[in-house]
Amino acid sequence: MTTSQQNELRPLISAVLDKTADDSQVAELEAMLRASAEARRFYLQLVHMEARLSLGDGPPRPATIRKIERQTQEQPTIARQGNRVTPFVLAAAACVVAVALFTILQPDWFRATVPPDEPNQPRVSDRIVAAQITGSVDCVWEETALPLGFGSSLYKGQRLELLDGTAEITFAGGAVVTLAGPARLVIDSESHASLRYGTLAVRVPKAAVGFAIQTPHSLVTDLGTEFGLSVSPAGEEEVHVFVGAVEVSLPQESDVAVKRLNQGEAVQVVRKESEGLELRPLDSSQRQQFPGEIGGAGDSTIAEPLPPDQHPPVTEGLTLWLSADGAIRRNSNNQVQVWGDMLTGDNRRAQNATQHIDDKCPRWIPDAMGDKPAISFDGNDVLQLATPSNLGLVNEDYEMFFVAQTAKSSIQFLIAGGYEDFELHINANIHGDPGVRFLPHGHQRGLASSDLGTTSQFSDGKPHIFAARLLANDGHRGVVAVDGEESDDRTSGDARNANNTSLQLGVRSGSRVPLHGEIAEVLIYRRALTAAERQAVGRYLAKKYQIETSY
Amino acid sequence: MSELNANHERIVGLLVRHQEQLYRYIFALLPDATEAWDVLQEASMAIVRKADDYDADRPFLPWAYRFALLTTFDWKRKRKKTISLSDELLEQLASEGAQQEDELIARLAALDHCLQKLPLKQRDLVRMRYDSDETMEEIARLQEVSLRTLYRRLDSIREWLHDCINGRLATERS
Repeated sequence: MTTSQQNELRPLISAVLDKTADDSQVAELEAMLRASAEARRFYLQLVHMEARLSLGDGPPRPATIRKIERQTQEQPTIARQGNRVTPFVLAAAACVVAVALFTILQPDWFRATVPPDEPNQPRVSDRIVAAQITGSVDCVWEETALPLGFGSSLYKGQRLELLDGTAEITFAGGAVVTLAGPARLVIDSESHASLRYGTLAVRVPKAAVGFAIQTPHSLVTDLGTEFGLSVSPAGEEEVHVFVGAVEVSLPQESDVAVKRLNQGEAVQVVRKESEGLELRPLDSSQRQQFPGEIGGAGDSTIAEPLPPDQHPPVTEGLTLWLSADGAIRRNSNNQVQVWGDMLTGDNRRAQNATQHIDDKCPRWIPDAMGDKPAISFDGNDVLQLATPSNLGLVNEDYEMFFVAQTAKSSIQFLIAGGYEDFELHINANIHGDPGVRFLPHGHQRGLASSDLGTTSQFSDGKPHIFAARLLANDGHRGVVAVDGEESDDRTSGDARNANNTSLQLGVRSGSRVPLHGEIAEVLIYRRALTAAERQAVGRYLAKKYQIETSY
Repeated sequence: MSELNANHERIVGLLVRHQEQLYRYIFALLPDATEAWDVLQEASMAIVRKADDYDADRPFLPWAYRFALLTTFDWKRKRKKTISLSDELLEQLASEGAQQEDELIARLAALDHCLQKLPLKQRDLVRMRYDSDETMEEIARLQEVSLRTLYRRLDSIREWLHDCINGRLATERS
C-alpha cells in the first residue's frame, strides 16, 4: 500500500476512532476497505494499536465488578501471564471473568473458586472510593457507563459532568461540596478535587482542614472554612469566603504566588494583559449566588444504587425506579429520609422520594419480604415524590408497578397525586368492595376506576405486584392488575390526566387513608409497555420477591 | 470437583489468558473502548455458559472469537445509533484479523518501544487522550488548540507510531 493511499485512508480511520466520522466518511471507508486487502490490513494494524492504547488507564467498569473487586483478589494464575499484557489488563480480565462467573454459576461454586484475601497480594482494583453523592436535587448527569445518582460512590480520578440540578458530594476526608450544574468536577482524592467549570460551595469540618480545589488557574486550599468557588466556561474564576479563611495560590507566571482570604472576602482571578494572572478583590455588589446546602448526610447511612446486573429488564421510558435494596438514606433509627431514584436507561434525572419530618419518615426493614428489605409505612408516614409533569406523566400513557404488602383490610394508598389523580390503592369501600383500585383520573366519580378482586383479597400480609397502566391502543383507558392478573374492568374513558399536583407514596392527598404496610419496589414508565416488556418486568419482580404470578 | 465445574474452570483460565486478544478483536469491530469492554463482558458470559460445548482438543481462540463476533453484532443491532461498517465487512475484517494475529502481536510489542521514543509533547497528548478522563474539548483547551487541530495531531501521532512500528519490525528482521 503506497504512502499516498495510506494518507487517504488513515484520516478516515482516525475519524472513526475519534468518533468524528459522519455517514459519508464511514461509507467512503467501507468502500476502500472492501476494495483492497492491503487497506484492510492497514485498518487492522491501526485499530489494534488503538485498542492497546485505549487500555492505558482502563475503561469504566460496571458496579458489579467493583463489588466483586472489594471481595476478591487476582487469581494466582493471572499474575503469571505473558509480559505483553499490562497489569491493568490482567486485573480487568479477572474482573470480566469474575462477573461472568458470578452471574452464571451457583454462589457455592463461585465462592469455591475465589481464594480468600491474602496479605501482600495486589488488589484487583486500584480504584479507591474517595467520595459519595449524598444529596441530589433534580440532577441530570452526563451519560456515563456507570449511571450516577443519589448514593453513588465516587472514585479517585472520576470525572463528573453535572448538566443540571444540584448535587451534594461528601468526600471521605470529611469536606462537603455542593455542586450546581452545569459543572465539571474531577474527584482527585478524598481531600482534593478539580473544578473545570461551574459553581460550588464547600463546607469543611475541622477534621478535614486542608481540603483543596484546583481550578484551571488557581489552587484554593481550605484553612477551616466555608467558601464558594466558580469557574465560567470562559475560564473566569471567583473565590468567596463565607466563614474562616482560605489560601489561593496562583502557580507560575503570577505576581501573586499565595494569598490568604479571610471571612467575607472575595476575589476574581484575572489574566493581566502583559503576562500572568492576578487576584482582583470583589466588592459585595459583585458577588454571585452559590448553591446552598441541600440536606447533608449527617449521621445517616447511605446505601449505594444497585449494580447494572440487578437493573430492571426494561429501561426504555423508565422515569422512576425505587428499590428498598438500593439507594436509600436512613438515620440511625432506620427512618428513611431519601429513597433514591436509581438511574438506568432512559431514567436520567434523579427524582428521589423524600421526607424531612422525622415523624413522617417510613422505616427501612431489612427482611420485610423474605430476605428482601422494604419500606414500612405505619399509617402516618409519607414520602414526597416529583410532580407528574417532571415524571413525564401529564396527559401521557404510563405504566407503574409496585411490590407491596399489607395485612389490613382498610383502604391502603400506594400512590396518589391530587385527589383522585394517579391513585392506586389496595381495597376500597365505595362503588363496590374491590381488593385493589386504580383511579387515574377520577373526576367522573364511580365510573373512572379500574377494580380487581374483593376486599382483603390482596391484604393478606404477603407481597404482591400491583400494576396499573393506560391502554394506549384502547382509548387510553386505565386498567389495574395484581400478580399479572389483569382486571376486565377498565376506566370508562380516556384516563390521561393533566393535573400536576405532586405525587406521594403511602397516603392519599389530604393525608387520608394511609398505608399500613410495606413497599419494596416502585417502577414507573412514561409510556405503555408492550406485552413482552410487561411480562419481562413482571417476571423480574416475581423472581426477585419470590411471588407466584401469571407473568 | 465435578466435570461441570472443571469445564468452567478451564474456560475461565483460557478467558483470562486470552482476554486482551478478545478485547482487541472486538475493538477492531466496534472501535469504542467502553462499548468494546461491555461487549467483551457479555461475550465472556456467553462463553462461560457454553463451557461444556468446548472441545479441549481444538484451539480456544477461534471458538471464542465466534462468540465475540455474534455478541458484537447483537450489540450493534440493539444500538442503532452507532455509525458502523457493514456486518459483511466486519466479518471479513474479523476473519483476516484472526489470521494476522501473530503479526499484530509483534506490532504491539514494537508499539511499547515506539511509545518510549515518541517526542515528549506527543507523549503528553497520548497520555491525555488515553489515560485520563478528560474530554476532547478539555484536552483541546489544555493544549490551547482547536478541536480540529487536536484531531489532526492525533492522526499524525497514529501515523508516526505506525511508521515507527514498521521501522522497528524491519530492523528486527534484518
